[in-house]
Amino acid sequence: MKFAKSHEWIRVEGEPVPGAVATIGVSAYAVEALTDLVFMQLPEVGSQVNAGESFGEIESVKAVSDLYAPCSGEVVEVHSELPDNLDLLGQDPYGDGWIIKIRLSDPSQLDSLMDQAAYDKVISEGTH
Amino acid sequence: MAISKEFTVWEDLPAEGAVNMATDELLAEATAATGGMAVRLYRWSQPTLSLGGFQKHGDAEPIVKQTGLAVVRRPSGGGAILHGTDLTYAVAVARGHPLAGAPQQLYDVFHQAMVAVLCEVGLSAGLVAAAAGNIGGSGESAPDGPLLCFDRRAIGDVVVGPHKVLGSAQRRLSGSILQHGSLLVGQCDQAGPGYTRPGLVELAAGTPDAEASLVGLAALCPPSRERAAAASSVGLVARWLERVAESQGLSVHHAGPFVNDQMQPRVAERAERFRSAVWLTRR
Repeated sequence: MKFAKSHEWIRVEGEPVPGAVATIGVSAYAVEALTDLVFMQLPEVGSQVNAGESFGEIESVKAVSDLYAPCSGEVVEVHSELPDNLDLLGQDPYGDGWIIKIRLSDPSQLDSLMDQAAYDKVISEGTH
Repeated sequence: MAISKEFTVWEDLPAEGAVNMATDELLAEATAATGGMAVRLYRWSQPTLSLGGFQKHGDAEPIVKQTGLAVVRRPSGGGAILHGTDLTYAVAVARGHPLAGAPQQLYDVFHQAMVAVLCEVGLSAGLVAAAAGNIGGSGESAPDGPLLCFDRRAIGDVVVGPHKVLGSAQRRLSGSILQHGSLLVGQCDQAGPGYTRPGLVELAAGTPDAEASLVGLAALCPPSRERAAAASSVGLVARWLERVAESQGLSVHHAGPFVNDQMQPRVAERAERFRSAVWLTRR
């Protein structure tokens, strides 16, 4: 699993090759920081997401946050139950709280993301 | 990126809603590039209803039809605000800034400073300590709660007695945090009796120090280009900004208008998005 500075995670199923499917979600830290999530807007299956660009939005009580794609690819599956059950994001952020799955177009983009230890360090230092 | 020790204060002439939203978004982008913390103080060239980023446009139609108010959708969250007799602020901090962590941090800095200056002039101001419930009874996290921000109660909102006078909401972007806030200076009458809420001027009645301290600010509301004196020069607002700066170990730097000749074309271009039906009716 790799992490973006903007707190999204990505996990590739199998070898990270072009066309591989990867799951994207948001970190436990981000979910906890936002608190009281109330609404979520997700992309359509078949749409394209680009690394570093917004693919959706999430609203907490008084903050709207963009969700940024860690890598580029085509959206192949959307967790459509999530907007109606946002508690899943907090209960199981790395499992049942997944958000979208994409077909990777450029797996080399994974190299610029952080591993768990590096992400934890960023969080602990407060430099995010 | 080194974090600037200056707290930059920008102040623009009253403008229409789409221009104000475009300017705020550009302020957030500029802050992401330069680091630090900057605030823009502004008012509105006509009475305007600003919707929170995810509010349903249809929910606002009754009030818009009834009043003929201009309407715009903010990039930030929260409830709708009737702008006309308020002072609006937009603060931006870069990601990496100490206040860019949990959302409540940035709210608290601006709200606690406001509570302090209101108390100094004799108003019984405080922060909402817990989810106290909205006017109308919905829970604060209900997506379809009260339409108006000033009918909502969230932790950290500034109240005088039971009346909310300052609320804020954020847009958390990749490079910066943009926080909008509205200080209700005077009762806004443009929307009719069902939507009036007391502002600081009404709440200060009978409190001489508070009344005196609000004279300068009240004189700027409702705004006009002819009376576009800088709100940041009014005592209460100046003290608020100084307290914010002091709490962060910063010094206030008054930088004038953010929308200068160079910025004008970019603002005009960006404002088109906020005027578009696609944006306005996105929900």
